[in-house]
Amino acid sequence: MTFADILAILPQQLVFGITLGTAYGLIAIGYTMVYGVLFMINFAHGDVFMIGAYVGWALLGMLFASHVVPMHPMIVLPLLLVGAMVMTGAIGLLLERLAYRPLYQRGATRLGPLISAVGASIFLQNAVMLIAGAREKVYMTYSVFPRTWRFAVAGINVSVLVIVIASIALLMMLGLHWLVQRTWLGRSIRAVAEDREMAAVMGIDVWRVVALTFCIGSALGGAAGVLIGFYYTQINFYMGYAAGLKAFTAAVLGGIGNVRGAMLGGLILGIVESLAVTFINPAFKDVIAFVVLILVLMFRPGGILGEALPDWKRV
Amino acid sequence: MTMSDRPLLEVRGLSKDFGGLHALQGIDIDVHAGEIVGIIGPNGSGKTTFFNVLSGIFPASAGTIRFAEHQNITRLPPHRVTRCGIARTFQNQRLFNQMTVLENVCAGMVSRTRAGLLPIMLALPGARAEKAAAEQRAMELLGVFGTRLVPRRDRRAASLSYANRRRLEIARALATGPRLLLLDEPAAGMNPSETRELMSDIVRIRDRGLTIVLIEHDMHLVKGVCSRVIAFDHGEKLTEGTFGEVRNHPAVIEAYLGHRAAVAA
Repeated sequence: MTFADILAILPQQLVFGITLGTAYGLIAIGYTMVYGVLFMINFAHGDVFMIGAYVGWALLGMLFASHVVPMHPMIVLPLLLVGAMVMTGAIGLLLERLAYRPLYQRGATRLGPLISAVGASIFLQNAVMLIAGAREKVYMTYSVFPRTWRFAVAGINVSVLVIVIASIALLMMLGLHWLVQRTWLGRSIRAVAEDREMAAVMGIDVWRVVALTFCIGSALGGAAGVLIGFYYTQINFYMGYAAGLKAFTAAVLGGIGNVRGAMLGGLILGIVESLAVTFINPAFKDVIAFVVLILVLMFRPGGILGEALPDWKRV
Repeated sequence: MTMSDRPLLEVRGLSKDFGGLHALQGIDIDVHAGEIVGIIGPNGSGKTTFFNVLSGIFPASAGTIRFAEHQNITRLPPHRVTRCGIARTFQNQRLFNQMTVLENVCAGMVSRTRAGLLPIMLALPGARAEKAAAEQRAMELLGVFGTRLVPRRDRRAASLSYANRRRLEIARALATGPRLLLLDEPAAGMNPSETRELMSDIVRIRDRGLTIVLIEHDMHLVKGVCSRVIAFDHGEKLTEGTFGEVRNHPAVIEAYLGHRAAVAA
């Protein structure tokens, strides 16, 4: 590959990388927020993302069949996103209530909730497989975003879909950032993350904050599921596994517990991945994420924006 | 006896065991509105455990706590105790160091906030007005410490000087809107002039209508501000009275200095 070739592909790959990266970031937020308040990795989060994709797929099929609304993105996307977010937000609340809180309230150590998370993950995958069937589902992406909706900017071929995905993901991340930094709820979340006992003494209902954190993180994961469904056009019941691990990598890369870090980590991972696909070998696509994870853990275990954690907060 | 004579805080037979260790045994304490009560005692005598049980961090093993109109707050979780009107500070500093000075105080007001998630997300006028009012009140609370904290409102709590961090802890506790304020060694680590300033701060806070119970090793402070002193030893209440009475009580001298010193006195 000549230098000129590289220059020619690079911008195109960057666009793909950024799109994928914003979706990873959106999922990573769920890991990082839950880690922030409970110091636990919610391994079922990838499956919550998968359920978001399935809810979006089901709603899209219903809308398409009903002929009630025109298949325009401005109408279809909000309906799908709201539907998926309500559903996954509720599942997040249930997970917290059924799979984790009982363990913590009985004085569980670190390991218990982690095992419970793996169990919840297997449960959710199998539940979806039993309900929706094991075959891959196809998103009717092109009924909403026709293939002709693409344009060229400075020689780069960009589809409207890619722009829409990246913008929605970025908007949601900005909204979350505002929520965490500027509102009462965000202040409570940060207070619980920093010192749970002190937060309780300040009159903050710690478990309510934990539940809301699960709800918000899961809803964002569900939204990412819809976006990724549109992007890849095919979904299956085990897609949450790989996506979850990558988003987890993104969260660690950015500094786990740090919301801005999760967004940054997602973007970097997305870009690195799509560049590696082009310049190394597409077969290595999934390997790259884990190479990044290992390198981060070796050289900067706290992540890019993470700070040195006190012992009791370490993974 | 009229209602106003009824103590604000009534502790009866309060005990706390950790396995076989009796950290608190049958503590009876009354605190009346407007008092500044000092709790003294050697290290490990149960003073901080008493605060931890009062504020709901440790559940009591036995006994009852009645506070104001709340008949029994003994088994409430910490956030509910706070909402009843009891606030506290800790011996070691526990500010939210990643937050600004103003945010720390606002964190204390969360439980008094009514705006739900949806109004906040939609930035409805009610939620916005509430936020503005809260920030105004937070500034007023920072003003309790004169010009120590007000000009530093947007700095990170971690960047404050030691004494200012301790002041901020008190301001944050005040933000929960308490009637009773528990201060655990507020003067620890302060130099004499900072301690003097703290003493006038404590009196000023009482004059705002609060009742204060404080644990302190600095006898100068206890003598200077406390209207009543209670001495603890081995998880029991040794005695109570004015500073002079308690200081000269043989059991107190024995607890601090040993039996022989008590006999010599």
